[in-house]
Amino acid sequence: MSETVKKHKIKRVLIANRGEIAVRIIRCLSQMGLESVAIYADSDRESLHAKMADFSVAIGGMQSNESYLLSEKIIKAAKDTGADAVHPGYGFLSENADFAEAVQAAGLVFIGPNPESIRKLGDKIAARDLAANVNVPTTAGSKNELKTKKDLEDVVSKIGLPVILKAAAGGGGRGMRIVRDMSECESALEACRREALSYFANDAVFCEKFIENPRHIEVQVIADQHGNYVHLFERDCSIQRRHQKLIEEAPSKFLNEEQRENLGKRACAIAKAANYHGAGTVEFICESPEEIFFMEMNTRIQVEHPVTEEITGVDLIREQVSVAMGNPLSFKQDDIEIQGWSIECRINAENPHQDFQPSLGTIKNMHLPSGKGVRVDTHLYEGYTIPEQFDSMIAKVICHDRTRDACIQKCKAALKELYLGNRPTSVTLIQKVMDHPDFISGDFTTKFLEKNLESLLEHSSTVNDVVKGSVEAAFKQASAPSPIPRSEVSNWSKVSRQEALQ
Amino acid sequence: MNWLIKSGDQKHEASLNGSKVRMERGYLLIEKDNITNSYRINRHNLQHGKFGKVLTVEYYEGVVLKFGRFELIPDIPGIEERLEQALSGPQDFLSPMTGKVLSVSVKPGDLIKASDPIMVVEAMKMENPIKLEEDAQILSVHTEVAAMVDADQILFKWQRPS
Repeated sequence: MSETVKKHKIKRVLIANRGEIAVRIIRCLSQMGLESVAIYADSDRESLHAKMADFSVAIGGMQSNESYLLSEKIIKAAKDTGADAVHPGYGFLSENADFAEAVQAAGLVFIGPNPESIRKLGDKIAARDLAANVNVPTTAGSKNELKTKKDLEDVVSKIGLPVILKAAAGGGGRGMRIVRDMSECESALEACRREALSYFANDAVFCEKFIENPRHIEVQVIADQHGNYVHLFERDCSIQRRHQKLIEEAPSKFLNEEQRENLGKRACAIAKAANYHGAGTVEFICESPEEIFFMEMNTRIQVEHPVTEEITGVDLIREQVSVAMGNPLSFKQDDIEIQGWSIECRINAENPHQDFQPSLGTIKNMHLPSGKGVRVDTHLYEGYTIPEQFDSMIAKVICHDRTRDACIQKCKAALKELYLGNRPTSVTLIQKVMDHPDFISGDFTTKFLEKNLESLLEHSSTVNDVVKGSVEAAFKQASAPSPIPRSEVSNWSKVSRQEALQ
Repeated sequence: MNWLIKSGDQKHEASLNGSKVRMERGYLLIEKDNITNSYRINRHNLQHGKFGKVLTVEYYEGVVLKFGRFELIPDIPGIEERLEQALSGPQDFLSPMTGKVLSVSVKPGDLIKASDPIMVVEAMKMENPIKLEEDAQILSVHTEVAAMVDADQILFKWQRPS
């Protein structure tokens, strides 16, 4: 561990990504006095990140698999522009060990962990093993790959039903199957192996005890190449639908001080065991604060990193670059404390009222909320047309305040102020969630959104309902014998105020 | 390679093999062979005045670009001769601001010396004398006393005296 850490001079960084995270990284580089290189697909020709970066390279293609997923194109772009490092962002190739290796082989610095750490933690079976070796509890499950129906049945007889089958090389909620009955074992295993092969080119499957009503709690870790591991507390990401997070917060209302500290220590132990450096997130699953199990470790910066930044004051992207340069962390664990509360709202270009169908188009007029403790991370600009080739997240509204309640109020005010034209987005749904007593009390699990979706969407009226209601009210009034007192507010203005509040 | 900013006049398209140049939302984007250089162009990022060195470009061959009242020309050998040639023809003088024309002291055909008063445009309660920094012959006048003018609107055309 005491080998001399090589210092890397980094002056120009290529961002192997797009959208809001590319903008985030370019901004950070500019703040550090470093140069940025953007890459963009043909479908991203008009994107903000391509204009903002000091250099940008057209790498062609329309879809991700013709552009942002093509390792050779990315490395060529880095070489052509004299970049000396690559930041992979999140998604795309950020957790692809082969890509990290190729970047290093090309003489460039990969801003992230070693390829070996990525590989080890990317193999979910090996990761569970690693956790067990440092006494971090994992959910009961198979120690090895399940090759036959009998393998699965043996495990089930030990840990009981229900179980969930998962791809060892998987993630993102893909390649998973829940087994609730012994009769399902064979077909579930076969289907899961097929999916694993097609999504992840690896049909290794394992199983875990399925937790019906869990909370998703993850810990942000940052480590340097000098053996320093610091955790930046946890995030609660339980408000999600089909493994897509909608609202995230830091810290979690679920944990007390002791549990928080314990979890942080465990997360650091996992990172250390994997010889990790850079920013990473250790995911836990819990049904009760006493039973918190290691799930997996994500070896990249995450979408929801801003909430951690807001409560700790640490710029995570900046730390990533600094660590990649070979610098030690600029703080110790004791230097980090929680200040206030932060909540992030993911604004997705989709219509929750129409089964979350994408809602695309051009942003003709835009107004972003601002003020103390109101941050918007986005790649939108007036005149920008949202391309249909990529994911639907168009902005993140991140608020910070001294208490959770104040933070919720701030989010509601910020979302009210936000204007992106008349297109439907996830904003209406988020606003409804924030009014829900279970969200306010902190009494929610990953099942919350699915369970309440229908009633949440029902209560948010559409324009037609509003007009209908107001016409009805007007008729009622008209047929009433007593005169309308002067001071009474008209139904139209009452109703339009209601509408504006949504 | 450097770009030069010249504050003043007419846009000149030099016939150099070029990069594609475009201005978008305050970004100057110069593209050649798939690689684009991006520069943030703001009033406060630029240096005024004659040949202020401002930007560095590596991958282009260059064109002369005008935006607002500023002219962007590549600092390469021979460019000044080329510009001289272009500048010896008729040029437009654009209003530096939105305002009202208070006075016009010239008429077509007049020969003036550098710094002779040509017009006065008033804006924000301040009078702004319009002058040229070199001797010129006025070719045509495109506004009149009491007219409202927009920034970059043509006030008059001139050329170097023959």
